[in-house]
Amino acid sequence: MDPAVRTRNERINLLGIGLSYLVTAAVGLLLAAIVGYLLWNGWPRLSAAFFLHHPEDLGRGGGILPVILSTVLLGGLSLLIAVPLGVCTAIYLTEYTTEGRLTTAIRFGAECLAGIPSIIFGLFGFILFVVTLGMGWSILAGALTLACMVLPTIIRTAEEAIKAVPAGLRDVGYSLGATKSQVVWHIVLPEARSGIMTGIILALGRALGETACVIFTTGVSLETPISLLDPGRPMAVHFYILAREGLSMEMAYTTALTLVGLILLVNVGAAWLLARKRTS
Amino acid sequence: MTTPAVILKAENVGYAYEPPPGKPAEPALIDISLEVETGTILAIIGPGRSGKSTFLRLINRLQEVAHPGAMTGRILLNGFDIYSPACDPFRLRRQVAFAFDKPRALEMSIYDNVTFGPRLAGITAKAELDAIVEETLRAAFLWDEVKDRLSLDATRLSGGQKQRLSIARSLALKPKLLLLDEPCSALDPISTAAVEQALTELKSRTTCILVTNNTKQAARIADVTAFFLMARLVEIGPTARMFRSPVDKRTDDYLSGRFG
Repeated sequence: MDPAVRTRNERINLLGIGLSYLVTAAVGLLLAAIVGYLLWNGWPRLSAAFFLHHPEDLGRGGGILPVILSTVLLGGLSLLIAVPLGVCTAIYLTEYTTEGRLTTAIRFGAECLAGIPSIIFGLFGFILFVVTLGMGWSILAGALTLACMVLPTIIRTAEEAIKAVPAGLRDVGYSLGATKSQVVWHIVLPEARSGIMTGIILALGRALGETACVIFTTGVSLETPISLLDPGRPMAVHFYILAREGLSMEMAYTTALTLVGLILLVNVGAAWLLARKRTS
Repeated sequence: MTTPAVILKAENVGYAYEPPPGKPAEPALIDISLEVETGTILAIIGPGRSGKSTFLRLINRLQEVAHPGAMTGRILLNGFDIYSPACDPFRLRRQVAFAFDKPRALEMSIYDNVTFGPRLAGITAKAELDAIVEETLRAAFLWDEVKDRLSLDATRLSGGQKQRLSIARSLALKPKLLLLDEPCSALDPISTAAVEQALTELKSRTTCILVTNNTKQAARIADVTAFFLMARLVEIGPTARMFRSPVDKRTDDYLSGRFG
């Protein structure tokens, strides 16, 4: 080959590699900047007392214990509702029907649901759960609304995970005398576990950080929610109100930092669980 | 001399996959009739797309699970028509086991892989399951390699070990008939030898039907060999005779490598 051509190709190659490094670095930098900014502004007020005390003076002082509790309750309950529904829908779509008008309609519906702005979910939840069903501003109404919002994510990812299970594995199950439901339960679901988990974590991340959806359905109460029918105030809403009303930017940043920390904890925890399951 | 018992009998078996809309059905099997005697290994050889695997998958009714299609003729297991309405395919598959071409370990421990079938069949006694695990892993020549780590995730075994695990898993239900679909196609010669040794020792208690693309493998371990070509059974006979003096010219051509 002509040496001149080769050096030209090498130069183009080098440029490509350099560009991809640059882009990757830019993305990493962006993330680091956000976390760094939060740390810079939120760290000074972070302490054990911040997690364990009740807010004082509308949130200007004290801690955020009820706010953390509301967040965890909302996230956990919404998953409790959305995961069984979503995973079962995915199983139905992949294992129990043949492709047809019905599956297309369900998939199209789920996709549309995924594209709806969360404030619309909030309004819908307010009208249906809070007013019509008489739940009032409550953890339950908020969790149901959040479940509606994250359902498409869970369905979609679980469906992809189940589709990725090789057909040969199902054959192994049938060849050993398993029925369809036994194949799904004992072979397909364990094999698709990590994919399904990824979707659940994504959904949880969205639910924990959601504001518009819950401000209409769970309210803004700073009281500690004792029952699921009590109102509450999740972290994202607390952060929003502190900043919006100009109550305390420092407390707002510390709350935001706590929220990011919680989501990070959930991600790391899930990764650790999956890794442990694999090696045991 | 008593006539050996026939365990499996295929009578004029034909099969066609459900064609795409608007296209005529193309037969995958045409008028296959053969008999398999208890305690023997039957090898089915032939080039790709001859209908070998389809035939195998009809014998334990695995074909109908994933592929719609139309079957004609009868398949009799110990004289019982397995396509009669009285036959429960899930029970049938416990008697007619299947080992696949790709080594596949279920995502669970070695122990749980082997006991998967028995546990579904309702066996729960630990001692009984332990006995099944040791016996079948020994029969599949895998016991010595894994006996100290039965709780290990089976997906971490090597390809050859996984394939022997699959055979052990199939044997765990004490099947009357073991169907093997190119069990060595993904294995190296050493693993292949281990699997072949396992099969020759197995035939005293389980009849085997082996589909293989490797004619030499058929020559090594099969008692009877059948040659499939383009959806038809061309010739069937004792392996030694088939390889020495095939009756049909096409068999001769295939065995001597003139096509295939």
